[in-house]
Amino acid sequence: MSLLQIKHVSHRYGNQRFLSRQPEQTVLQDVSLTLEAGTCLGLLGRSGAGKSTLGRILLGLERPKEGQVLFEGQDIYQNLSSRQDIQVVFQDSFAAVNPKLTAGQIIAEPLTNFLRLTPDALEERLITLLEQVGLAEADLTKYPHQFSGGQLQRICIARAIATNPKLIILDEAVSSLDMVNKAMILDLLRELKATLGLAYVFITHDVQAAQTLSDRFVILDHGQLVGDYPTLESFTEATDRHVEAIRQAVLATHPRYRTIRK
Amino acid sequence: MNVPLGRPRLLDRLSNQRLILIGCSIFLGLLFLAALAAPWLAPHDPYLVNLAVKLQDPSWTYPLGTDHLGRCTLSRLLYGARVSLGFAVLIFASSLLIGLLIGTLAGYIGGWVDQLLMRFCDGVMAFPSLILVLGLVGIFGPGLKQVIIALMLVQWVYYARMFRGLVMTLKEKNFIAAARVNGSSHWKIFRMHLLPNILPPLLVIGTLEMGWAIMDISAMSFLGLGVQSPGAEWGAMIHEGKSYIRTNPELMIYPGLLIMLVIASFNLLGESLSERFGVNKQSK
Repeated sequence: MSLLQIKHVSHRYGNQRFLSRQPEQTVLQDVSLTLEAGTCLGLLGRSGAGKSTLGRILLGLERPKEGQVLFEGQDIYQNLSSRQDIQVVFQDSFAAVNPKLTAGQIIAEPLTNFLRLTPDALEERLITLLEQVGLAEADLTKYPHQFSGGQLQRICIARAIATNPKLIILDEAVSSLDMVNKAMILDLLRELKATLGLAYVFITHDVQAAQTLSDRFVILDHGQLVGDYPTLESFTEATDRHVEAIRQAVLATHPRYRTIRK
Repeated sequence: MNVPLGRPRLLDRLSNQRLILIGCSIFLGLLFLAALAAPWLAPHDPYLVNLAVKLQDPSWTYPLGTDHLGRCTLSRLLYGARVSLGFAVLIFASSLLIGLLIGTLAGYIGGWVDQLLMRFCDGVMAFPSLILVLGLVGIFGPGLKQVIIALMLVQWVYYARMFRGLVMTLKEKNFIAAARVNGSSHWKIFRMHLLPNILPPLLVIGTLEMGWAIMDISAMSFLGLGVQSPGAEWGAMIHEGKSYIRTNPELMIYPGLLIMLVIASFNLLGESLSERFGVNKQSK
């Protein structure tokens, strides 16, 4: 049985106000996908393609208008205990943590929600988690503004893996980092995937980042699945217009002269 | 353009935020202490009528003189502070709680709940608050209790609107989404994530509102709708003193001066706090 099954999911945003009613906008249309345990699905698409909406639906933050999402065979909206198994890392780490809490409190939040730990065991777990993401015990009492973006993203990752989830949604998790930090975070994510047996849904518009982490690639465009590449080779060799469009969307690491098509 | 060199001008020095913060805090703190300790500090019973000593000038026995019924003005001012400050705190705290509850609900839930609550707030805000209070007092009759309840019923609307706005901006932040994914209950999200982030603006608006509450109570008492004679309250004291404005203007000046100083202090304190926390007062 697959870890995650997305069955014919459609979603619309409608702005229903008291008297005026604006027309609904289709964000996702009949999206079906499956994900196996321990694998990474690269979910690519240009901005506005519905990637993040799909991510929010998988997290249970939004309920799709049609279709269903099954996690280990059970509907994620019926079985909310599956929440422990699906966690998230967002793009902007500074917006993803409460500025008034210390790193320790941030990582402890899911632990106190899902597990009953003694204060000593909690502290021990926090330190283990920090070490797992390459930070030190001394960082526990620091506040978010005392960290760099890359360090804070590590804290977000520590928070995400705190309850031993099976699936992590990476919503543009490396997109706002510089090249060095991006490479290091990608390394960390790959390592955690191997050691903890994690599955990822890697939402990104960055082809290179997706290629370093993903086992399978799908492309979303205007809310519809337009490409499905089961292996890295099939994706790198693909030349259809959707893949090209996504490759064009990212600036080259070493820019050369580019001809501007008219 | 000439840039002033050397010693900063008086106005610049006066607007030194830290100085204002400390000065106003000390003044208001002392006043609160004086109000609490009124029974021990007051030289006389504020309600003791003694027509033999009416309208006296300041003396050792009566430090600020006596009023038209021979009551000690200083004692009445001290006891009046209890009413003004005490009930201002009560109005502030209760309307804040109601506003926090309703504003957070509206902002957090959104949808038709938000629409319903906010349209009601709009309705209340359409009238100047003094008119509403006058109307409510007109229905329930004059008296301190009625004024307090009326002020509470009017004031919470402003808090509700402010908290709704703050919660709505916070709700879109990813850390709230992360908290929901983390399995935090709505109550925990409110306690851990929303409340700490709306506390600084709350402090600022609260300080400004305290000044307004004191003025409203005094205004109502002055109009004869709040504290009734012989109760000691600053607005009521001005009301009673106004018949003697030609012969004994100090009967009105003392309480008037106190009201002015207290409200100015609360406002300056609020201003400097808002500067400090970078809160936009217009957001309310």
